[in-house]
Amino acid sequence: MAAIETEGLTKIYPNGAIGIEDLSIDVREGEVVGFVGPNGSGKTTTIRLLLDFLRPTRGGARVFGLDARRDSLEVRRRLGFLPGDLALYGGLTGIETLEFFARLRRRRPPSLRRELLDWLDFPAEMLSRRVRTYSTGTRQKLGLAVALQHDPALAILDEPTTGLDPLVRRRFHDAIRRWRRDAHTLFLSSHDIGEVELLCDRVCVVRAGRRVALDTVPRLREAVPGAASLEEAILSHYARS
Amino acid sequence: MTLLALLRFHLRRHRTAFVAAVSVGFLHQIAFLALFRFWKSNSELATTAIRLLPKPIREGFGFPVEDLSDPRVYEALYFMRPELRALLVLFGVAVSTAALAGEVGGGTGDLLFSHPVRRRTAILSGALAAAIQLAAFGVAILLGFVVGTALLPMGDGQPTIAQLAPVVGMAVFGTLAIVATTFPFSAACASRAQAVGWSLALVIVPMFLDFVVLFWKPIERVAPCFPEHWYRPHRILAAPAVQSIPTIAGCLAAFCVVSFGVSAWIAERRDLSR
Repeated sequence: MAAIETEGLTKIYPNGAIGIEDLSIDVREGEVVGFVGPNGSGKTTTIRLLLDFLRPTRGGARVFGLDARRDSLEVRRRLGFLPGDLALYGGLTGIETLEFFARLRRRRPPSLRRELLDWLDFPAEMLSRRVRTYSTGTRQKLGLAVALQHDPALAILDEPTTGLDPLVRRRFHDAIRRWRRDAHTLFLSSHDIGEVELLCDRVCVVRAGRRVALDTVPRLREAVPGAASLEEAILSHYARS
Repeated sequence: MTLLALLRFHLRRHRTAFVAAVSVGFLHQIAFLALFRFWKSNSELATTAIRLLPKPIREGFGFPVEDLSDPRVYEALYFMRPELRALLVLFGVAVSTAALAGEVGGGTGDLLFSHPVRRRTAILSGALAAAIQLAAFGVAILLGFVVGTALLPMGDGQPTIAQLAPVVGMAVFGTLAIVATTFPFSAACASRAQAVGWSLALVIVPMFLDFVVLFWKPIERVAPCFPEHWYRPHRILAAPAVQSIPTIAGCLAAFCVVSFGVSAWIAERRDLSR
């Protein structure tokens, strides 16, 4: 069964701007798929449609065979999400934040919390401090712990390492790899091609709201003659009119 | 269970503002009672001043202005105090606008609604939090009355707790109904600032119209459409016989139910984007 499947997914905003148009992608269970594209290409719009934050203009999406719109609650029970522009409740402490979000998933206890905090090298003393005092990296680590603490079958991460220093980034990659030991599915939106190459089995390239490529890393590289790296291959997709 | 988790969260989130508001309510009532002796000794002056007011305004108070030295009339005036009403309404609007517009505008909604949380549950939890906090505010006023009258008895005619409790209950319920009408803005707006702006406009305009209706009878027919029209706790204390409490309570409850229904309807249909 496909973990994520979209067919002709289209979102046109009320002001007429096209978010995505006729997007069809599939992500198999246990797979890591990178979702790349220039700014404004529709990556976040796609993710927001999968999470039922936005309502599609046409087409539809299915997550584990469930309709992302009609069965949205069940879909969200099965996934973990880290937003690109992460905002947390500044007045809560780290542990209160983890507890609050865990309580919203009563059926799935936060079984992976301790390991995640360990993998991310999250400073234990920070858990009792208010989130508003956290650095960007610590906040992002807490966000990942919130998203994955219930050990979801599917994680959707929207630019999870943007703005992080190389050390924290490495911790992130390490935590994601360890979490994937149980063959979980990961849908990773990123601007960092190196990260995508490191973590992903397949890569979906979108441009101007449309899918321009969806293939394995080696095939994507080979598909562009003369491209020495995946980055060059993907950039050539960005550049095509 | 999700509702309970969100409700606890709302109560915790507004804890500081809530404690401040409750303390102000308690002390405000005591301060108001402390001024009673001064008021009583100058009640003739106050009566003369009030008699100079235009008749519609005098009638608008809804109680006999001849008895201004009566402790019940004095206490009834408390529920018309603009600072009290402003405090109650502003606190309620702060809670209502945090429910959905605050989450979406502040970005926290992305993480919140990626969890199995229905949008209408978020709205309902905000409404329940507002109700609980306004009720606690009412209890603080009652406590202020008990402490205040123990320290400074009002003398003959002092209202009993049994007389005051339904009045406080109606003030809380009336405020909740007014605040309830602001929830649709919380459900529809892209940011909390936008929701606060619209909400305050929605609260202030009916307040103004409710005042205008005293002079301009043609709009009397539409006045019952505003929750403000049914906010009459002072009248219940001053003239309980002429008030139909079930009717007033029913109308206020209808405002709450319709507003939350509309809010849920809007919330379920909108895009969650800033």
